[in-house]
Amino acid sequence: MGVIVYKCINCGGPLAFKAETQNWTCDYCLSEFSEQEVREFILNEQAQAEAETSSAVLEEHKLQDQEFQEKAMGYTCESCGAEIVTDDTTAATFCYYCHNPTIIPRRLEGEFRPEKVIPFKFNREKATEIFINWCKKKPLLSKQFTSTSELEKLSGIYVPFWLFDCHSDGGINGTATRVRTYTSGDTRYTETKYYRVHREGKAIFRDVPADGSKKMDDELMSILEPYDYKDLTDFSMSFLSGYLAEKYDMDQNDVYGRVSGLIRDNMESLLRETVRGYSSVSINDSDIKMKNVDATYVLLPVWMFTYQFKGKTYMFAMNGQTGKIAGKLPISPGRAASWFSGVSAVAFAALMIGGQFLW
Amino acid sequence: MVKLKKTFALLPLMLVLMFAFCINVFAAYEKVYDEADLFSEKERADLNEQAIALSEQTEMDIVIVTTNNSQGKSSSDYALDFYEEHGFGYEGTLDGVLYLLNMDEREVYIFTRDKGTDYIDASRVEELLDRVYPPLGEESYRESAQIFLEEVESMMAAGPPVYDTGGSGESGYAYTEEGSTADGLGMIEKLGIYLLISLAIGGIVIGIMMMGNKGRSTVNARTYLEDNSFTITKKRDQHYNTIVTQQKIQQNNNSGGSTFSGGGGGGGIGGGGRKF
Repeated sequence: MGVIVYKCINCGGPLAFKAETQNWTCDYCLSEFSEQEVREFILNEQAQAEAETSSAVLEEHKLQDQEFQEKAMGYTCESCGAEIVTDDTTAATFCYYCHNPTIIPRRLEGEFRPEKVIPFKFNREKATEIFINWCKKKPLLSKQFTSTSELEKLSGIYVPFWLFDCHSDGGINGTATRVRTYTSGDTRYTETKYYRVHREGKAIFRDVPADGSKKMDDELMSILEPYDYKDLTDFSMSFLSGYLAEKYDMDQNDVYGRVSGLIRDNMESLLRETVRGYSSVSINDSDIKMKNVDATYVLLPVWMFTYQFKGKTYMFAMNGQTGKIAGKLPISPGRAASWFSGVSAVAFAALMIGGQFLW
Repeated sequence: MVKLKKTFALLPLMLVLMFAFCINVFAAYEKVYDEADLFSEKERADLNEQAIALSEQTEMDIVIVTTNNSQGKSSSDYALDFYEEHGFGYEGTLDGVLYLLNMDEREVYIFTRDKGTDYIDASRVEELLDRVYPPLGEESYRESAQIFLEEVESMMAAGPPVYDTGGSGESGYAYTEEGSTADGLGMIEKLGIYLLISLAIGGIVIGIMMMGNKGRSTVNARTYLEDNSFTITKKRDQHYNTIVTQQKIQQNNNSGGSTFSGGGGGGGIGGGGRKF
């Protein structure tokens, strides 16, 4: 039992999670199922399958090469029997031949089993619509860019994220100045008072996210934040059906450096904000410690757009929950030049008119 | 869309045109007010053209006025009122020289203001009158006005008058080149500055737009902070040093225009007249 294909209870057609209705609909017989129904059905299936294969398969497994077990790239599609080709971090994908949504449960077992998931909130069409609307608001973008023919690939991916909880406490030291000027007679005095400032404080940070996939660009992923964690639900493989999913290839220790740096910066700026009423403040050193660090493994929804434009590939990521977009749009030199001269001309005219009165 | 692009493409051209147009607007002043009808139309146009050119060259207003009716005012009052009513002066300053033929009083009057007074002081006004006076006896008004323009040009070219301070025997102070340009920037320089400023504004706006051409982070230090969990446990602000610096305030006396005005009335007014 290498892969799971969720099948309609009524007709046996493939079943995918529908973001717009937040349930599972069969594209063939139009039956709708709730999460509860799908889960029960799967449990039954699994129980059956285990009963059927228990002893025989276990022995067979032992014979297989351990290396192949872990790195195996080949799985067989449950629906059509074709080989499913993936790399070793893919947990949910589509059969290359029959395009049935396919889940590879081995990739989500044990330590790789996510605790929570935020399901996709909108479908492919809506994602494209949001993206195009976003593009329309960008005055420097070439108009041809949004024509849909340029969209090379759009995929909904569940990206592995680590959510860190931690208690942070620490202090900062710095110097601050307060400047005052006053005039006496024909002399102007500038009085600068120097202070040593010290602040200590503590704070609790919750669910600071860091993506655990090497494939995903960290900077792109950080711009997608924040996710609204009220939609976090207990993980069920059925949510992955119809989307791509990755398993983490950077564990919580690998990403901790990134997260702790972020929390340190946050803590420092919180402390820095409490130094008020000065003309200038400079922080000389800070010492921030973290304790009770706890990480939760979750899958968060991301729409990935790949655009081909004038021979270049552009990647964009969209938060699958809020629609927030990360990525850099190409700049049209023509439109940039037009805006530049337009704005300059208006400014020049304003200066000419204003200058008549000022000079 | 294509049409829109063309419009945008024309903008740089429009910018250049606007630049050229503005120079014209400034220069298109009427400089010759021949109310006594002493010049032929051709003479008037000719004098006007020369006055405009001279005005640009000297960066102060050059005006020629003739009148049959001075409304009972003295020539000096009439010249002053005429100058102020018409708002003469070069580019927002009051700099200028006015040549008045008052046929009512049969008097020629030279009125100077600010920069005009700086360059054409009382003794130079006398000198000017010496030169423009003779043709008036023969009713050669155009010639007199012509001489006025030429004399002003050469006086301005000679620079401001140098005063002999007598006592020390050293030649005193003259207005330096910078001193005179500080009064009012040249038209071209000013437009150049405007152009630079507007290009800078354009650059900044485009820069901001370019920054907006991608998704930006909206996470701040408080995004993942648990509500009310941030508390300050220690706070110390310790004063350890004070430094006071002092600076003499410079009195701003850059415009010396009024210093040389004989009248001492309203800032930098000078002049003199002669009956013919």
